Amino acid sequence: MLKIVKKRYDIQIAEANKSVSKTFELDKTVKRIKGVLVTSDKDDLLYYRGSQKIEINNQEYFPENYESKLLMSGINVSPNERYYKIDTTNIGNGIIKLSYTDADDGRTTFAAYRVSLYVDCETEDEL
Amino acid sequence: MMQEQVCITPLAINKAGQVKHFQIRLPKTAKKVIGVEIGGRFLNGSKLVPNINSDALFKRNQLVGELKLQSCEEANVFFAGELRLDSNMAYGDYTKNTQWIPEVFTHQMQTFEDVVITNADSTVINGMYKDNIGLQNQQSVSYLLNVYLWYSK
Repeated sequence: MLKIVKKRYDIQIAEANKSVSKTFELDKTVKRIKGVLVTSDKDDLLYYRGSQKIEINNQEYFPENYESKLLMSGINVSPNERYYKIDTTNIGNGIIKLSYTDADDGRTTFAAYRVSLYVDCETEDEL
Repeated sequence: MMQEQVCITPLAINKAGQVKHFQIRLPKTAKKVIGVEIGGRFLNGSKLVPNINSDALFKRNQLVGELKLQSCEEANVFFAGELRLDSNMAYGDYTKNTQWIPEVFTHQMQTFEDVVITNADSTVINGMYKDNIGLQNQQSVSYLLNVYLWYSK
């Protein structure tokens, strides 16, 4: 039976103007990724300073320098529509690589923050 | 199967009223340009003059600059857009109070590309960007403009 689940993967940004990369392994029951969403515990830092590259199974979905603000959704957006829609089928043993870059633009003061990548997945029960 | 991909072109703007002509080269596999997005960030050290009507209830959204794109395949401009700073996110929002005001990073709607459909066989897109925020501020404002060109292949 197909189930829809939301996964969350975190990276910590401890230093200003640095890049952080992390690879996450999806559960093998995940068959399809339907959407992604980027958020943070300090929204303003993510909005003004962040950009990222997202690869799923070595395929680039969002290239380097893709601004985080373009993948964020504010609280004005209905919870059902917050994910940026992408579609991957037959994901198999999926691997997501998130490469996040922090860059100061003068409007925020840096403090360590967390970047969370939410993934909207379709899973199938194992037999 | 159609695949969508995005090509990002960063442009550094440093002078007030700067006009920048540029070319975007798409991969040979690109078939059609299907969308355009504009984004950017201020480079460190840029100081913006506050909105002249910043005490007013409704604030003027600052126009950062204007972008125009043309495909080598077709006559005329296929995209003309503006980059603006949203200064009215809290307008009409009854949740705001003296301690908390809705900001773009808490209340922005989802961002989507502006849909265009244009031929990309020649794989070269010509662009022109004209700065406006430097003229408004009467001083040079440095920022990095990102042009996101979505294409199908």
